[in-house]
This record gives sequence, structure tokens and C-alpha cells, in this order.
Amino acid sequence: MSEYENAIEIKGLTKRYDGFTLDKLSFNVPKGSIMGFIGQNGAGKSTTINTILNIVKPDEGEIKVMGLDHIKDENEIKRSIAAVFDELPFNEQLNANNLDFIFSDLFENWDRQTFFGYLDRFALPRKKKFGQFSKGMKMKLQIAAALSHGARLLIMDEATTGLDPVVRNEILDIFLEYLQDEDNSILMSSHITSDLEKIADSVTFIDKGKLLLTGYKDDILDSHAVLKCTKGDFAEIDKSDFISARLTDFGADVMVADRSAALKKYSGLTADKTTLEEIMLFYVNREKKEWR
Amino acid sequence: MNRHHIAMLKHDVLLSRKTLIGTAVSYIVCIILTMLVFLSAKYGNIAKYSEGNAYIILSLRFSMLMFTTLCCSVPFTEFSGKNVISDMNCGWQKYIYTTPLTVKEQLTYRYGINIMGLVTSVILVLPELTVLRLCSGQWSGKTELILIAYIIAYCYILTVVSLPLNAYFRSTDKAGLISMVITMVLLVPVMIIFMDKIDETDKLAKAGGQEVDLNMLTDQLEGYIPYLAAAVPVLIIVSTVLSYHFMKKILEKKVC
Repeated sequence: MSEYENAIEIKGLTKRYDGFTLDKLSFNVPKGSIMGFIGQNGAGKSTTINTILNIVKPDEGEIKVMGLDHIKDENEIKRSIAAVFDELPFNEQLNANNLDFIFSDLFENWDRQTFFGYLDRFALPRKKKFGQFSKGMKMKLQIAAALSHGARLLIMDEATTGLDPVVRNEILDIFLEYLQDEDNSILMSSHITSDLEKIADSVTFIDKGKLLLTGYKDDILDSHAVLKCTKGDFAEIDKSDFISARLTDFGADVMVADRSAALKKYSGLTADKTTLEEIMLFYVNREKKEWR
Repeated sequence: MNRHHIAMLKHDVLLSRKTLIGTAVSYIVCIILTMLVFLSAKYGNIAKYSEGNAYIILSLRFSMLMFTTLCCSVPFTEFSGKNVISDMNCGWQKYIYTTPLTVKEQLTYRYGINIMGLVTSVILVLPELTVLRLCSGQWSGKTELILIAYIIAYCYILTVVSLPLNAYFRSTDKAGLISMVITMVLLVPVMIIFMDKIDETDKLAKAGGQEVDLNMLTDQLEGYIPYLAAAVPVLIIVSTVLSYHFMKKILEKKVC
């Protein structure tokens, strides 16, 4: 595999279904980083991930994974990636020993020691059938398997959904360890923005198949702000200066994309720091402009 | 066979452990039962009841042979096929698309295993034929061998026809029904000939004041035997090729 700057490069990705279109999506996942891929349910996150994994064929656009074309070089790419889904994809009659037995031939670089090391760390039983595992155990098992064959890129599709905070925290710590190696990268789709706020280096927001925002998380959080306004103040704000506004009984919370410009123009107002969740909420309601 | 094929084989063996053990036990039971039945037919109660009636012995022989053949054929020809549905439903097939396992490897594995199942079924019938020879003093005739070939071929054809249907429908209800219908359609000409000859045999037997027996039926089928024998490999090849083609389309479409 040649040197590459971005673990994933997506340009103009389009996929059409009846009633939904992934429309000219473009973003990059820099090598050695973790990207949070955020959107509501049905925004197109899984469709995007499935096209990266070549499970779904795009109608238009170009995807490169680790510098290679995702269709022409599919086999080479798949030796170096690992996918983690929201549901356990292994038959419930199998156990961890069985998985090791199968994967030692499925993956060239399968590392039994690493796999059992993670199992011990996660306190996962080796002989218990997967059907008897809890949701948290199933997710930890998937992650243990994903990290045990030398994958350079982890692609996670809603992997932490439905997990309790303790388990999620444990998993996020594992990801941070994984990223100690600068050649490793993670693309993580989720609508649990608090997880991404903890560990993501960059984020991409999509909504209804369209790209809303993409960039470094800290830059996005620093540039966006919520202006707390009275009704009178809100009436003074130009509609083109904000993303959307949440109306309250006393005034409005107004999301702006350029905090410093907004504070310069509307100096009497207070600009509060915002979160990824708030940014998502306000962007999702951008067409309404004003909402409750 | 490469490492990826071995991985898929391991996966299927692990999921089919109970079936394979059950098959081994059933097979051994069939062999032992065949020996016991023929010992009884020679020295025991069956000998008393079947005195002077060769038809009973012939029927017993036929039954044991057919039962053992089915016992050998069904598990082995279905070995990987029945896991396709659970693979599709549990997400394993989707996971496989994210691994280095290619569509070509999946296809060569599935159809290679089916062909090995076919060969294994044929091999496993041989001990039963040997036991029958030792117990009854007779090797199997043309009729028995043709029927064995048809049972094994039928099980194989049913399996390869249901492979793409199982992958597409992900449930045995629709897939099973459609594969039964397709297999019946393929075998309709054979069945028509068979039924026609049974009628003729019956008329001949009545005209001669005799009971219908299988030897008379065999004589009626004499002229068709070469064609029926040729039809078996042709049907196997055609069904395999068509099934492979449709399964390839489904896997390339990444249906999961």
C-alpha cells in the first residue's frame, strides 16, 4: 500500500433510492485521526458506510480508501480494514473459541494472542455462545475481533448505540489506544454526539443525504455559538446571519456559524459555547429557520 | 482449496456439528439395521413370514437401501446450503463482504462443497450395498442402482436449486416451495415415463395372472435406461450451472 494522506476520500458520492438520495457527498478522513460521522436516523450514514465498504454500489462519485480505489482495489483494501456494525454479525451458536478458529484462516494477519488478550481485558467468556451475550458483550466482541487482524482503518456503523455509559467509555478508551499508532484511523458513525465530542478529531454532519458540515471538531465548536436573545434582539438579527433559531417564551436561541463575526455585528448579545448535539439540532432545522 | 475456503468450511462445520453427528449415527444405525433385518430374513421371524414370498425380501432390501441412501444424501448435499439462510439473517453474509473473502471464493466453496457432498453420498452408499450383498447373497441390480442414482441426484439438484433461492428469499418457506416446484418440473418427463411403465407393467401382470414385481418394471424400462442414466449427469450439470449463475448475480449485488 502506497503512502496516503487520507484514510478515506469521498468526492461527489451519490446514491439514489426511491424517496432518498445521498447527494454529492464529499469529505475526507485524515490518516491517524478519528472522524465522527453524525446525522439523524435516516440521514444516510449507513448508506455512506456501505458504499465505502462496497456493499452498495454508488451511482456517482469517487471513493478512495487508504489511497486505493474502493472498487478496483477492493481485495487489498479489505485486508486492512475492519467493520463494526450495530448488530453482532456472527451466528449465535458460535463462541469466541470458534471465532478464533475461523478467523485464523479468514484473515492473513489474524493474531490469536491479541484477540484473547482483548477477550480477557473485556472479561468475555471464550466458551459461552454469542446468543447468551449481552449487547455490551457483543459489541466488545466485535471490537476485539476488529482489532485482532492488523486493520489500519476501523469503520464503525452506530457501534455504541444502545450501550450503557460505562461500556461506551471502555470502548472509547480502546479507540484512543488504537489511535496511538499514527497509521490507524477510525470512521465512526453515531448520533450519540457526546461520545464523538470526547474522542473525535473531526466531524462530518449529514442530513437527508446532504452534507451539512465537515471539518475539525474543535474548529467547528469554536466557530459556532448560540446567541441568547430577547424577542426584541431577535427581531434585529438578519436571517442570513444565522443557521436557525429556537424560539422560547422569552426570546430565541440563535445558532451562528461564525461566532466572532456575529459578536462583532451584534455586540450586545451573549454567545454561549455550543455542543455537537446542539449544532446538529439547529442545522437539521435550518429550513424552518425558526422553530420551537 | 485456499485458506478462505477452509475458513468457510470451518464456519459451516461448526454450525452443522449436530447434523453431522446425527448423520453419522443414523448411517451406522442403518448399516446395523440392514444386517439385523437380513439376519432375521435368513434365520429369524422375517424368514418365517416371508417363506416362499420373494417380494417381501425384495421390498425390505429396497427399503433399507433407499433409507440409507437418503440418510447419506440429504445431510451432505444440504451441508452448506442450509447455512446460507442463517448467514443472511444473522448478518454474517454482510460481514463477509467486508473481509478479504471474494465472491468467487464464496461461489467455488459453496458449489465445491455440494459436489463433494454428492461424491460423499455415493461413497457412503457403497458399504450399504456391500452389506446387502453379504447378507442377501445378491449384488444390487440395475433398478436399485438407478434408483440410488436418482435419489442422490434429486437431493443434489434440490440443494443447488435452493441455494440461490435461499440467498434471495432468506427463508425456507418460499425458497423451499419454489425449489420443490422447479425440481419437480425438471423430473416431470422421468415421472411420466415411470408412471406410464407402471401402468403397462400392471396390465401385463394382470393379463398373465401374476403379481406386479420390480423385475417386470425393470424389463419395461429396459429401453429407457441408457437415456435415464444419461439424464442424471445432464440434469446435475445444467442445474449446477444455472444455480451458479444466479448465485453469482446475488452475491455480486451484495444482497445481505
